[in-house]
Amino acid sequence: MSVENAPVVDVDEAAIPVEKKMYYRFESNDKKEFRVSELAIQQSETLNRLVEAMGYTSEDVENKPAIAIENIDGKTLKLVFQWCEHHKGEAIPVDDGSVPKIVEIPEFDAKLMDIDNGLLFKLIWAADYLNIVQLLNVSCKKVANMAQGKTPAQLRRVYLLPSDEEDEAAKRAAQEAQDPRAREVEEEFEERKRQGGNSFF
Amino acid sequence: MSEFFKSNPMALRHCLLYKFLQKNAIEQVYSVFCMVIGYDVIKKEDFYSYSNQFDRGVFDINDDRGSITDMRDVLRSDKYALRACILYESLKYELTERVYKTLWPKSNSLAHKSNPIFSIYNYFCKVIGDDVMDYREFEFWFYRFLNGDFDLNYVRDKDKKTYELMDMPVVVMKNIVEYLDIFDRMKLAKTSQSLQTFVEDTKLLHHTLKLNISPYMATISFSSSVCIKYIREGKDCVKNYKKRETLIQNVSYWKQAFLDFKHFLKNPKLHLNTFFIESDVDNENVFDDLEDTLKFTHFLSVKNVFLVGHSWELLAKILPVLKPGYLKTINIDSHNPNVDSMEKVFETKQWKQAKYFKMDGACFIWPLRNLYHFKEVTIRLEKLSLEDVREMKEVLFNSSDFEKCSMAFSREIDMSVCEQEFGNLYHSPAPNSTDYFKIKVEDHHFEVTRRKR
Repeated sequence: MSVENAPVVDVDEAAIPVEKKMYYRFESNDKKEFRVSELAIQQSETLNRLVEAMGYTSEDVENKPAIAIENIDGKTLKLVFQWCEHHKGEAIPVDDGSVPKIVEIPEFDAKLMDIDNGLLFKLIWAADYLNIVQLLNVSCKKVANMAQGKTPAQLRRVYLLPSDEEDEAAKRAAQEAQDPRAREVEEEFEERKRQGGNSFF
Repeated sequence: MSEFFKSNPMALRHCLLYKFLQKNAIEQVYSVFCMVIGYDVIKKEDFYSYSNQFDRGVFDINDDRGSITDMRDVLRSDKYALRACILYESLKYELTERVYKTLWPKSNSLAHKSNPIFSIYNYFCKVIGDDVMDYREFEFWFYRFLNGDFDLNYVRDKDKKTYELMDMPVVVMKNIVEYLDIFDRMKLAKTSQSLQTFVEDTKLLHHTLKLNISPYMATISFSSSVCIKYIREGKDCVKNYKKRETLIQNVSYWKQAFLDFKHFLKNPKLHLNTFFIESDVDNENVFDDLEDTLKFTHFLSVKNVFLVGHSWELLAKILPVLKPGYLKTINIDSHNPNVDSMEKVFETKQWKQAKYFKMDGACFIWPLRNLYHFKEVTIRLEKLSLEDVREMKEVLFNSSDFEKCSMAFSREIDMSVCEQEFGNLYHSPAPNSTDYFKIKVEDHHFEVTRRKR
């Protein structure tokens, strides 16, 4: 099992005469382990609630198994925790939907999100799942920025958007896959064809 | 990086061909090529020799199949060759980023640009061919190389679950679409029926929409940078958008502008901060057409409306289509007040529920009681009578909403009228509150402001 430490902002610990910093251990679905500070976890509403409910002590963190995050892989989780560590202690924005959201992408975030779309969408999915509001905001803004000034054909290429025809074909295929009778009928038809029958009925 | 190319001569040759296909001046190409892959990888004479060889249609001198008609086929038919070209582009991107940071250390990285990789992809397609690789594949390899994984033979795990835009939860899709402006949304809506439905169902907050109608031209402006012009050409209209001109025959310029304007406004999810209409034509037909244009089954969600024009008819025609309560500010600049149309305006919910009113150009000739529901009023009057002052004091000073009233007068104010009502103090306590009203009177200006103690 590999242990990946998310980068932590250097702090002169001697200058802070408070209790030892609390860390939690998390494990991705591909068994990568991360140590994340308590303050960084607060950026995620989901994880924050989870660790609060668990009420772990520092000893528990070391002795008990790492908290499993089963839906997210290590590569994505590493980005998520890097972001949380960098932005720890920052206020979580509240969106009341009344005004256009003004979201600036900081340099750190821009570099963190300089990744392929496949990974970017995984990061967005993770930010939504873990309820990290500002990470979701900046990553969605990044996706929106990619659309700027593009033609519909270019948008299809960038976002891998299906056309109406492809959409329809995919729906039909999914329906057929779900309907065993349709598959049976098709198989029977193929079998009769093989046997030389011209007509199904 | 030099070592990789020294031990991968075929990848080097594919990169050389890729550079050659870009048809740039050879001297310049050599120096850029060396900057990207390393100075000790290929000698200048070898570089020139390859260039001549490619020019003759020969990729490999040991291949006796004769010259190749289209050298792009060498790259197109070989996935490893294509990857080598992407590797070259990723190295160039990295170099550009480094140079950029050296020259402008305080500026943001290239990653801040809207989508630099897509521009590189477009260039790659332009050089080799439009359909050699889809964008997602290109991007995958590009970032892999950028992260230092140079294995051209890597096999992708196609079974691994990948995420696309259309896999995102609805709340995420809404978040993304809300950052798109009106134009980008229209383009996204054109990609498929399902996205069209989705885009139309997402709240659209737009800052300013401005319509200007003059005797020879109409313009629709969405921001300082996006503007569509409709120019009068006899009975026809010339539409000018992004330096592209289109002639629309037998349609008046304003009708065409209104048609497009209606197209933007018809979205019931559109929320406009500022709706600005400016008209210096005095043509009844134009106003009637505008009234027809603004007929929708829904109210337009507009926060601030600004009207500038010859006629006050404009206000009477526009106000009823705006959402009552959502409309906060009414701002009008006109020289010809129309008594009848304003009587209709005063009866509308939109007028009664608006909070701020500002008028320029002409005097307010109607009873002042039509203004007392506003939080803030800025108007011009002919004169101030004792009755006006008494009524104002009676109504405004008992209103919990009222904040400021600013009036300019054509005739000099009779100070005795004010002093009779307010005394010499020019301060008056607000009833049932610790606030007070500050009253400022000058020769042609009268102002009352609610202040906190």
